[in-house]
Amino acid sequence: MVSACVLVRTSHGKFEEVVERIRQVKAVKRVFPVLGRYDVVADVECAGIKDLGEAVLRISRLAGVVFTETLVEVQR
Amino acid sequence: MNACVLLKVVPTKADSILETVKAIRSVRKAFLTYGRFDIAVFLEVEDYRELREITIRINEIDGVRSTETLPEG
Repeated sequence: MVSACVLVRTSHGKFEEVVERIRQVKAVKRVFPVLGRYDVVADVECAGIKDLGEAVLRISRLAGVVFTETLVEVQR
Repeated sequence: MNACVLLKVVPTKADSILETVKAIRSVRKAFLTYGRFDIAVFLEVEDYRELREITIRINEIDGVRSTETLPEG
């Protein structure tokens, strides 16, 4: 199991819809709008790094998502 | 209330810091990360006061260089 913290910036004022859209992505365990340098943060969990890449790609393609930064869990 | 706290730490102390952070009651998930930060932490707190208490505690851990807190808004 590999986790990632996905930091998202949305187009202006769109964070509520983006949060709902991200919530639909199966690998997303937790998602919430935030204050600070980002608009939304998601906790993503997948079986492997390939599935994680696909989940993050899907998030980055959602309408309203302008920018994502992914912090992938170090594998040991 | 959810929050995400991102840490930059002294590399040699990352593992011990992670253990210390995981022991904090309101921490739901914490893991070492690649990228601009070294540790990502997901918290669930009652309010901003509790969040502040925890971010102070995290900042006091030996080896923590800086933190960026993203509270639910």
